[in-house]
Amino acid sequence: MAATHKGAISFGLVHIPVALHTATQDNDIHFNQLCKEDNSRVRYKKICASCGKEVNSGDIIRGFEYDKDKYVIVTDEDLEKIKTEKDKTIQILHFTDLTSIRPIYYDKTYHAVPEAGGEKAFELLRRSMMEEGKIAVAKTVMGNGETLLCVIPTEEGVLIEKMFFQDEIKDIPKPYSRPELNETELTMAKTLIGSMVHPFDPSLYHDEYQVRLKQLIQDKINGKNIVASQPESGGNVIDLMEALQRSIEQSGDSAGETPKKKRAPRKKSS
Amino acid sequence: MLIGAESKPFDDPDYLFELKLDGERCLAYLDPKGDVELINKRDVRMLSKLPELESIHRQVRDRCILDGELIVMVDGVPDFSEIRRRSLMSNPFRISLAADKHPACFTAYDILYLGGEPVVLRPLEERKDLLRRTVIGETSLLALSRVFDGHGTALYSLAEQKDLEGVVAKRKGSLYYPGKRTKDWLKIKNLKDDDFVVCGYIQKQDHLVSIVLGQYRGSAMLYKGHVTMGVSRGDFNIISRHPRADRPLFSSYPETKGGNDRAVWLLPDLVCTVSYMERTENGGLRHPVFKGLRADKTAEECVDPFQ
Repeated sequence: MAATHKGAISFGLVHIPVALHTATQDNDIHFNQLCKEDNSRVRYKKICASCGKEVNSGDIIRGFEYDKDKYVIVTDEDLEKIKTEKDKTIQILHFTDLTSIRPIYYDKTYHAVPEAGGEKAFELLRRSMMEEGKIAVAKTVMGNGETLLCVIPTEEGVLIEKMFFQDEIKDIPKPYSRPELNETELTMAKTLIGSMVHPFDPSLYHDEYQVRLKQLIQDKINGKNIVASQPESGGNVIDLMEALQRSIEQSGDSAGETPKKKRAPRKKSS
Repeated sequence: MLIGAESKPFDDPDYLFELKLDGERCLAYLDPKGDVELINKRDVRMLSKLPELESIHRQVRDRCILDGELIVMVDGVPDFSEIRRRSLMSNPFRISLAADKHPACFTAYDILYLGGEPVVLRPLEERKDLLRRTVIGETSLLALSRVFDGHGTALYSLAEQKDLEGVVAKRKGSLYYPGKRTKDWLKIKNLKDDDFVVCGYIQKQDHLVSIVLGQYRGSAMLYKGHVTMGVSRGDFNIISRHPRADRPLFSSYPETKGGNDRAVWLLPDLVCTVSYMERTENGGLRHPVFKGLRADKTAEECVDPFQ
């Protein structure tokens, strides 16, 4: 719910303040590790591999293993010196067609929402990109490093896709031979494809394993307290308010009448 | 429209009194032929967190915007920690488990638009009347706040007996000013708690953490002391990752007291609830206990009640 990143889209001379919110979420069931004996939570303790003593965060430094059991030590100061200058601006570099970016480059999606004062410029950017059929390639700084982004206008708003850099994209790991195909085979395959074309409807697909897992957990919860499988009666707010109303109507002889003015003095300013 | 001041219990025929429900303020955009949209004070869409409320638009006669409180009832009274827990959830399975166990309720107390027309400039009693006529039938999911005409003290003592948050007094004839804080609405609190801006934190020995609290008076941030009890690990994770400020925002504060010189100062947009035994003479808190961060309020809403 809280914004992941606050910054501003910089487009020519215009600065548009925006907040980025993650556009996807993990809905999977995650388990906690418990001690078999008494179902208590299991905690991690960091211990030194050689002396076995527990180490606190203050006693931990960072090293890079450049050879077996040989480390270069990298301090906070070292990192501070080389870190990218904090620039929260999402700087638009150029515009392009959506189809010119292969899907392999997309990493994580965010909704961009304009912050106070940026709505007009934001909408102007969205509409004009939409009508021109263009998207924007941009960069910003997230965490310590530079991040490549693209800004995609939609009917509802603006999506920001975090992208991989070219050197992070892997080639096909193994070559495979491409045998010759004859026309008949190709025509048959195309006919089959043609007969299976439907618009993509994401609501049709669910992770069936997760569905069964949730059902399993639901059953176990219900089984544990068969009596309380109905909604726990928290009492109803209407009942509460009506009970109060009845008490007031019954109390004293002023039933139903509006009382006389009896203002208490306001609390004093301090 | 926001509550502008705190008051002691009183009776006055010029006021309507209602229960102050311990929940999250929310606007409901309802269209009987369309759907439900719930927007909290931070402009966050709440329906995905409260899916049990997805059909409450069928309970109104016409398109309308209602102002009210999202609450969860536990043991017969609204439980703030439960609605707070819900509003921080995102996993749909956990949400559905919580919704089955403790369903939420939108309790409406005002109406701002009806059939596409604003009604905010109608007097309070007229809006209450429109609200009653717009909501077709109350259910445990969409209820109407009961109005107690003039009987402030009697309602307050009942709230006290039942350990409810308190009472709100609304001046008859008053208009609805969206987003504005006005003294036409007064709160009469029973539960001794308040919302504060998290201005910084002080890391102490033994994993203890003190939170430095502030409240606004006008545009100035007032120093409101520390709270150490009750700060949960989850909340501290959020607090410690929050963007920092170079220096405190207070115009004056005891710079050396309680480790203030070692404090990490934060940008003022986290809000927390703190309960206490009583307020000291100079507005400080006696025995403060941290009750949790709340995502439904903005920092600007945390104002010093003694202005």
